[in-house]
Amino acid sequence: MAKRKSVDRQDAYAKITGKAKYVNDLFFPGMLYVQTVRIPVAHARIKKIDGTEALQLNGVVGVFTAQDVPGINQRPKDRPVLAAHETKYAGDGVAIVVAETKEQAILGAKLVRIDFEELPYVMNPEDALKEGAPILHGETNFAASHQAIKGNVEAGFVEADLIIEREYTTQRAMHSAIEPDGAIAIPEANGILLYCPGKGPFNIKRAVASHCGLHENQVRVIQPALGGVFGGKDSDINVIGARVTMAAMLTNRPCKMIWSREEVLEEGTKRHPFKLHYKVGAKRDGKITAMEINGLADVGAYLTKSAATVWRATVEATGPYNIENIFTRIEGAFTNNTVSDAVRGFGSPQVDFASESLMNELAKELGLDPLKIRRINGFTEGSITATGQKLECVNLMACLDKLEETFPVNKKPSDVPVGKVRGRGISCIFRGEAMGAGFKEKDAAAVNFNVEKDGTIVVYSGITEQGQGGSNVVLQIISETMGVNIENIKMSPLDTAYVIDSGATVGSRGTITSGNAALVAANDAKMRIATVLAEMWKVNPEMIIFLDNRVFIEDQTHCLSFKDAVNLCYTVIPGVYGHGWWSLPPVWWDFDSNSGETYASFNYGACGAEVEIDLVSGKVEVTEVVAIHDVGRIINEEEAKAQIAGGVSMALGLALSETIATKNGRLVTTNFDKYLLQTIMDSPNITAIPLEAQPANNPLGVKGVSESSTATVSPAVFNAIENALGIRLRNLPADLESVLAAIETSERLGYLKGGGIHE
Amino acid sequence: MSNYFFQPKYLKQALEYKRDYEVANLLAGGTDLVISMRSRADQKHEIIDLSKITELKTIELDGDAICIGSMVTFTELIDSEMLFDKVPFLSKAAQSVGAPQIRNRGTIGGNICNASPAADGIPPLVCLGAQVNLQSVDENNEIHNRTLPIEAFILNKGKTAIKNYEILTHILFNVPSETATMGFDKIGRRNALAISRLNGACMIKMEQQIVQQIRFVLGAATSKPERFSGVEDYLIGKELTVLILKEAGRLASDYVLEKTGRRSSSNYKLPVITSFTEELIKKTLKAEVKVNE
Ligand SMILES: Cc1cc2nc3c(=O)[nH]c(=O)nc-3n(C[C@H](O)[C@H](O)[C@H](O)COP(=O)(O)OP(=O)(O)OC[C@H]3O[C@@H](n4cnc5c(N)ncnc54)[C@H](O)[C@@H]3O)c2cc1C
Repeated sequence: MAKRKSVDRQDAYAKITGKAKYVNDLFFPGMLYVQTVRIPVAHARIKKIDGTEALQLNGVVGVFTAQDVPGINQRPKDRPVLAAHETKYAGDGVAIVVAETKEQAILGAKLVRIDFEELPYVMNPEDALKEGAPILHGETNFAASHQAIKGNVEAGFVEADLIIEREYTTQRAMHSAIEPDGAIAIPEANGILLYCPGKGPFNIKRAVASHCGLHENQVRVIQPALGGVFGGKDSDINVIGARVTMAAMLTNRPCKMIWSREEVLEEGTKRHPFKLHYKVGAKRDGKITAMEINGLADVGAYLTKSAATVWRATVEATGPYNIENIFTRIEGAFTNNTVSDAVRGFGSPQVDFASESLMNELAKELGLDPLKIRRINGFTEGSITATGQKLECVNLMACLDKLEETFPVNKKPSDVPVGKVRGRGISCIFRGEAMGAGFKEKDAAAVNFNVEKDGTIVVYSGITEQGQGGSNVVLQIISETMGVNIENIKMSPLDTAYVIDSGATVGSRGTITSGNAALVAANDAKMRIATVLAEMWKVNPEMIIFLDNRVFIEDQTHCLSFKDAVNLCYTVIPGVYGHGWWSLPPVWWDFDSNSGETYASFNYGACGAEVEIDLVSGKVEVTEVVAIHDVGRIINEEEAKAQIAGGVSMALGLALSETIATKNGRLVTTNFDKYLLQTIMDSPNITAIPLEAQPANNPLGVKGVSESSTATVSPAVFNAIENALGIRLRNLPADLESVLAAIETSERLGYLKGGGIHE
Repeated sequence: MSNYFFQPKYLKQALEYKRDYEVANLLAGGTDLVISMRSRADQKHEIIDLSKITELKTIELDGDAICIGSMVTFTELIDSEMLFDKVPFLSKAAQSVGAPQIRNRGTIGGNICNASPAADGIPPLVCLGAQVNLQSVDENNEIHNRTLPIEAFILNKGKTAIKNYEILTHILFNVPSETATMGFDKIGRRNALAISRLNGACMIKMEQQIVQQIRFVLGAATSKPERFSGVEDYLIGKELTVLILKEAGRLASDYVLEKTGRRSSSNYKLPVITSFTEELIKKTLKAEVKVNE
């Protein structure tokens, strides 16, 4: 297939000019403002909530608590709309204050008197599983676990010439979408109209209906422009949506709530911190004989999707390597921390950090080149994963070849300034596509469109545009297939009233599912039009060509503009439209044998990073990142590169500076002044390479692109740091303190001779 | 919310407001004030906005004296060729602040009055032996001026010697000798929008490889940016060999330990102070000596 050209995004103009409307830009007559009330301790028993004083404040319309939640406030172990008897973390809402203005609502919230008893808390998942720990749910803080067992690890370790054991930890981090979470609920004749940004509008609709005692068909969700998601705007939006909906039902007025940045930090979900213990055995020649992995994830105060996160981590924990004998067990435990939930990567960045650091440690012990050990053990066509799945369309070696070509890891860094040292590191991964067998439902999406009489194609898709360019993929596929200029194809706003539920836009599944559904829909419409014309032109429908806004047959004896062809069709058939459903090939998982076809396909990636370390301060500057990702087939090269580069910059925060800290059960990191995102001034030269090797097993041949690039960077950076200092860091992030300590050790051990500090 | 918001055009008016509303907050760029107002429970104070007072926005060279108005922003400091020529380390310090938005709003006067130990604008001024001028007006409409060395003006973390009725109007210092070299450096957790983990300014005059004069200031090390006279005294009259610099670094770190005691941050800070001191002095020496045409 000819290389596709990059197409500008239809949503870009509105966003760049400020014309796009985000939820906070929307106002409705008579709208009230909702503010959440919280108890500022990690764990508390609620004795009494008294809203009398707040209600006396000018403008306050209502103070509501868990007792006022109209439907099911809480499912077991999951987040309540408002905590009823006990708060399990400092972010838990216990009441809402509804007022005429936002300021009054905030002031009112301060006047709600709460009588509570502080309970013992536990912030560390290891402590949480110990005897006598304060219990969050039911009988134990155990939340979820998964295993993957292959061969016999004991036997595998016996075979090994060398065995090493290492432990790695990853930190709590967050999405940091620039748009904070929020929603507006409007009471209507037949239910509630909810405006909210989110990646799964139908999930929001279901959750809100259940929390608020409504039928699902009584909740309609309209999605305004989205100001960033990165895996968030999920369970948080369900809670916010339910709070504004209950407020709207109880006051019969439109109700709005937008979290402040502090609230996003305090109540919002975060990435699961993992502690991972690896034991690996290998032959002298580098062949791995066995790997044993035991992991523990901090689930935080409520369950949300932690079981699925742990499952993905378990499936991918070994990294992309052929290993005969594997034992992996990863567990999640409840703590009184903020809730852990989906963040771009969904468990992959954590295990990839560990397994890819481990590969370098193993290579070092064996005296092997880090690229070589990956080539020796890496997946190839037909390799069997930890869960017994036979792999197809394996592009790992293609990624490694490209890495070798674009980022020679052994190249000596040149022009190193005095007082600095440089190092280079690499990593590679495999990552399951889309939802996988961790979820029961079929992984499917629909795309519909109507061709109007002016030739415009009006499209409906359930996949959200959250900044990734997902809508344009759909438009582009329709454009290519129908031979219609993309300017004549318009994406309709996402509204659950008329768009088909296509699942949430998660798991890098947007292009695979909706792109292929768009292809089905476009072919459906094409056939409909071709059938009409073929009859008139007395030709076979297959002979009709759709190209450059025209419909014709090869010898041009018959040729119409697309618009005329459509209008002609309207004289013969009732409608001109395309309808397409598409689902990923089936997958399955057997919980008893811990095996199955986990994901319909996997994508592969490789990364190289160069760092420059300041020996005085311990500051790590990442100077170069090459990120190679197997995307199957590229739909829009510029977008694919942007997705990769965006993932890299997000991952650099994980590697170097981002962390959510608590002290005595309270959040220390309360805003962006302490939660240190990388800025453009920290950005390295990023070479983003979307790679086209073997296509994936779907009609478009595409794979997901949005998450994998968050998974490769931190191990490559840590391997580069090790390369520079000779000292291994095993805990994310590489902050000034830990790097300086490594420098000191390095000097003490004589790796950094004279240190370069003193010329 | 505040009761009154004053926006005087002239310094005199501002002084009168400050006399009449002593607890009023002076608003310069607001990059510290607005943040603290947001987190403070009591937000009831009046605000006197100084942003329309052009008298406070000048940068002047008069003979050997440089006078910088308190409302001069970091961006204006950076853009001043005269300052870059005469006191390049002040320009560099200004350049290291926050991000363009913060530098466009944040003022040197605000930086000084906020008195953060990590303030980036202060160490070069301390090195220069700068004075701050404080003005007030009394009931008889008589103007009073008070001048204090900046080191004496800043008392402690967040504390200055300013009186409730005073406004800091300008900062004064003499152009350093043409043979003096100057340096500023900072350690932050990232390359922009980073509060200094440690910063420092240094000014040295050498004669035939021997230190004639040195002023050495560290910020974010003790409770305020201050001159390290132990380091200075040790280095005067010496040739700056590797061993001597190492000893200077050790003296700096010992001084900090003595002042602050051991803290959780000491494991990081103390060794870094040692090597940062050495490096800053070395970089200062290498800084180009400006020669007047
Ligand atoms: C995102 C961010 C990043 C930052 N990064 C840095 C950094 O890298 N380095 C750094 O040093 N600082 C930094 N700061 C802090 C701040 O920008 C500086 O301290 C700045 O100089 C404050 O100046 P201002 O004009 O904004 O002061 P304001 O906030 O207006 O005032 C600060 C205080 O000084 C008082 N005040 C102001 N002017 C006068 C006057 N003329 N007379 C008497 N009192 C007065 C005010 O009443 C107030 O108490 C940062 C701040 C933010 C928000």
